[in-house]
Amino acid sequence: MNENPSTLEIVTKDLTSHIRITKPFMLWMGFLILGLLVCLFAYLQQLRYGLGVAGIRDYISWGLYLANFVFFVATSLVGMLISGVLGLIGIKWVTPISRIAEIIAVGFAAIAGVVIIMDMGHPDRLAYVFLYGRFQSPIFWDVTVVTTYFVLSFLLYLIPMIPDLVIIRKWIDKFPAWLTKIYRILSFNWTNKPEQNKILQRLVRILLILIIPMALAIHTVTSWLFAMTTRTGWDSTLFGPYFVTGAFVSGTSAVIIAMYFFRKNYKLDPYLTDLHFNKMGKLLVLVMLVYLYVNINEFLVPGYKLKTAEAITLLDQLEGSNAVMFWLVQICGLILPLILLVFSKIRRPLPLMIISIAVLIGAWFKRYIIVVPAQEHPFLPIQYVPYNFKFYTPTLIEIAITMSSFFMLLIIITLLSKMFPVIPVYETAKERGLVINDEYANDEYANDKYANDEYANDEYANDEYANN
Amino acid sequence: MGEVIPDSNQESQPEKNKKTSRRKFVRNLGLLGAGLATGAAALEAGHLFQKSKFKGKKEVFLTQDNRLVEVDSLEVKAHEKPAAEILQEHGREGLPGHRWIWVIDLSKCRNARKCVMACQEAHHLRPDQFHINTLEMQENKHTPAYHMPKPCQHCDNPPCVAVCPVDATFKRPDGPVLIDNERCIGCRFCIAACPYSARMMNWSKPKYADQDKDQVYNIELNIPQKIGTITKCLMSSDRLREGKLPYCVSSCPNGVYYFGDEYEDTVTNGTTKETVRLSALLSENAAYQLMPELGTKPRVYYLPPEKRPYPFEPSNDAEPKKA
Amino acid sequence: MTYTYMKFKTTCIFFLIWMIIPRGVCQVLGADWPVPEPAKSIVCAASFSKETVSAGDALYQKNCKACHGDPGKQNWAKIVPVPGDPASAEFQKQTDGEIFFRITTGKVPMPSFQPILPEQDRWNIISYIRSFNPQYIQPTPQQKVAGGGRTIRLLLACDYNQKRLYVVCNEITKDKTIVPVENADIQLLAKRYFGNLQIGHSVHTNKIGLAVFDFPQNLPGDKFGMINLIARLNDETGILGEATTTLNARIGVPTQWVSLTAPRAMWNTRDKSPLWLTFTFSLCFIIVWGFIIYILVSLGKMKRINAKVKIQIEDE
Repeated sequence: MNENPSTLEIVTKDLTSHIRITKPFMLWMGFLILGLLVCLFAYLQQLRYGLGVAGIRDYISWGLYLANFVFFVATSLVGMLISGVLGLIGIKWVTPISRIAEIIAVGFAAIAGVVIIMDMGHPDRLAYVFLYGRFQSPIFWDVTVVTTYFVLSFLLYLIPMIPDLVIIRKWIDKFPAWLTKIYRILSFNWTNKPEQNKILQRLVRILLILIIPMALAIHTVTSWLFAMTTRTGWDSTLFGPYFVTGAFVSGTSAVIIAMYFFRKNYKLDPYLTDLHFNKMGKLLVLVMLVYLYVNINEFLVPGYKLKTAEAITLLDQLEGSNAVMFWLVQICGLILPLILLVFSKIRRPLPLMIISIAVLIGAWFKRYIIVVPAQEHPFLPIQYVPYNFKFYTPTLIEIAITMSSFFMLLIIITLLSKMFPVIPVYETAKERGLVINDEYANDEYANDKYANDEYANDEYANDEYANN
Repeated sequence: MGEVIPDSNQESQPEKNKKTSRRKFVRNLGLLGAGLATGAAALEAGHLFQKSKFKGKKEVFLTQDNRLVEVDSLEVKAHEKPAAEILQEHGREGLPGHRWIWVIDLSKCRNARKCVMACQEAHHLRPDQFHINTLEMQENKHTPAYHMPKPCQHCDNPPCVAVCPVDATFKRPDGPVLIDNERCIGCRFCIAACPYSARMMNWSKPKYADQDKDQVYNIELNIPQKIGTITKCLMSSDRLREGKLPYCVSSCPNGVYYFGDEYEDTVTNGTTKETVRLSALLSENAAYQLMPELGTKPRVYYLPPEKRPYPFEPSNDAEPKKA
Repeated sequence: MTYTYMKFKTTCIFFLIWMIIPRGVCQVLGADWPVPEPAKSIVCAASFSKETVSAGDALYQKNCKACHGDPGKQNWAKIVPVPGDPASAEFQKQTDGEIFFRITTGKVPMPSFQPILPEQDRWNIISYIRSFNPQYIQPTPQQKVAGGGRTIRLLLACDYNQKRLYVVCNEITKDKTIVPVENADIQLLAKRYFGNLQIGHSVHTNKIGLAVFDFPQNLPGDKFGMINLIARLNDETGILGEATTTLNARIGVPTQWVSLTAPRAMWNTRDKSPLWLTFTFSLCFIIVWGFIIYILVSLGKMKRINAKVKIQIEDE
């Protein structure tokens, strides 16, 4: 490990050293897959016996699954904040973080789509949403925007990585053949030609602009799943911003956690420095301040008036049966971290990571607080039903199915980070002034051992030019 | 996409380019033709398969007088449709010329719960699934308590229908809000959206699942009930089609329910069969609707629980019990 | 006030209370639900038998048991007024005619069984109820009381100028002469989907057998204002018998049916979604996916740039 990497080769080697199969990796993946299998067994039970295996019933009909869905959608939003907003403004320190943010975005968005299927009474009728989709239903909007956001995030993950794939293919030849093949396919013949760079830059720019409204859309639409109803606790005009700002908090903390573990396990200290953690800590403080402000607005406005129905829902959270969870979430997940992170000593990697975990857990329970208690107090009384209809308790199967989403998420994140560099090689090198612009245009084909078969097989070569 | 600067070599060979583009065009044309031919062949094959599939197969049909008959599909003429399809069409079209309306006289309700039982029996529900429920209501401790039968309000601005992603639940031209078991994906957005808690879900295997499994699905009765789908009050649309009052209405022993057609300005009491002018009934008794401030425009009117000839008796079963 | 007087008064009160208590049910029945004199003496034309009792049993289980419980077991429904046990002595005191009248007409909360059960079924129920009374002897069905052989004819006519409806009630006697019936109670009804709506109050015929009704106020008819009218002889005693006549008259408010699902709305089907919504959604969708497709195409283009270079180098 070179403390001050000065040549392209060193940088490339540093940033790709984790792309190999190691024992801890195998153990970790084994653990994840085993956990996923156990949870899938729980899902089989649900497929067989119906949603009744979960604790949700007619009055509180959205439980863990939906809270979890909101959490996943929320956290995936961070890709837009870091790559989109900060990237477009031109903030330099986000360069090594932007891809981590995209990994988080891709992983969480993909799993959000899976999580919502777990919540369906008839998952076999998923296609109906596309066949018979009503333009008036927020679910239809949600399905559309989450799918679109996933595609955009994936492109935003992939396209800036194209030069990396070429560089690491040039410098490193120890990868297994299948991985090299994937690299070759995904590198789209990029050779650092000016035309190619022009296209690449334009595409990235389009994506960065497009991802911002799309990310706002996914979480605003998700908030509309609740705000479009008349239920007290959900019937709020602030719900869109409430969700979006909350999403920044959970997303930023997720990125910090990922940064910490990538740095530690993949030995990326010279690239993900304490400075980056410090900056991310400051960013977290900023988004938490905004979120705190929205929270105050969300609770003080109805709390001041205490309209009959709203008072019941609100007071139940502030001092009733949900008060413990509510205050734990608000204090340990928002206020306390906010105060602590003001001090620069806390914004060092380890304490920051621990606080981020607390914030992320708080963010998950916050979604639970938003989704479940509002349903416990419908306008009309809940009568003539068994006790478990009135108070929601998640079942073991339900918890296991919810856990499966985290196993899947970690599998995706682990695989992505093991197959591709987690820190942009090309941009890092460029920032350090290491890449010579026409280096590849001349050398690439002479040196590239794949060059021959590549072009022999190329469809365009055959169709359009070879025959002439 | 013309932003890419063309290669200079290419520009110097316009002839070649022309040829290429012509060849390309011919090739594309050929491809298009081949694609069309393949598509046509596939359609024809599908058609033939469809034909052969129906050969000798028994189909269930609904006759004009509402009887189900089984006919060999070979004998079926083109215009005849399977019963399931007719029931679906009936269910979605409703009964044109009518606009059903419901009046519930709270002063007469004594919580006999005959309506609840008749409904659960008719729609094959579990005892904890309520298309209609009688609730014990009390606004505050100084106001009197009363029993309130609460069916689906069949709103004219139904929030549950608005949020449905797949047109599974729908408003019918003659008033009721129905649910299509065959379409419902079980997302439960409608449950979340309904302010009257009028919607239920078949969380697990329905009570009569085995008994009903061969039945043709009747959207107006919502039988057979299906696991993972929503079930709700249907205004007994199947009974309305027969000219009969809904199950709950006609089973009430206490004369609580009036049901009728807004266009006829007439409602009929389910117990006494007394038929009265709707407008007079509403205005003379100061009728009201449930939570009209939500803008749902319910199809159900309530007559206030005034001058009750009996004391309020709370039910032991109303409050949920720990198992 | 003397002591004796007070004692007398107390005794009287106790006596009165003692008188009232055991008869409570019957008192309520008798006081609140009078039966017209002629109806009391009606008897069943057929004699009660094992068959009528068992038929009545089945009908009772279906129609009456929910409130009245099992006869003799005093397990009636706990509602007010108390439904009472049909096997009780108080109940059995009624004449057949009284029971028949009460079953026929009903009184909230008891339904009227006239539209539900045919006449013989109602008698079968009475025969079942009577089977719990060993002392009961069925009154011999005399030659039918009045009503039996009489033929009553109603005529209904509409006067659009005077805005009145006329009902003429005639009796056709055995020798085929037509005699106006005076003082007959005539009801005018409009045919409705679930039952017949009475228009105004019932009217008694005058000396020439004529009953006059005003047009109903603001009663909706079909799209031309047509209403199916029914004139009915309201004869609870059964002396005159039954008679009805119908007329389809244009006396209602023309009503055009409007489908509730006609407008485009948030709650309507996908095909009737608000135009602005369909448009906005589709536009956003096309724009975003247009960009995505553009990006994919550009990637292909980027790939081809090098392909071209390579081939041209080889060509040279």
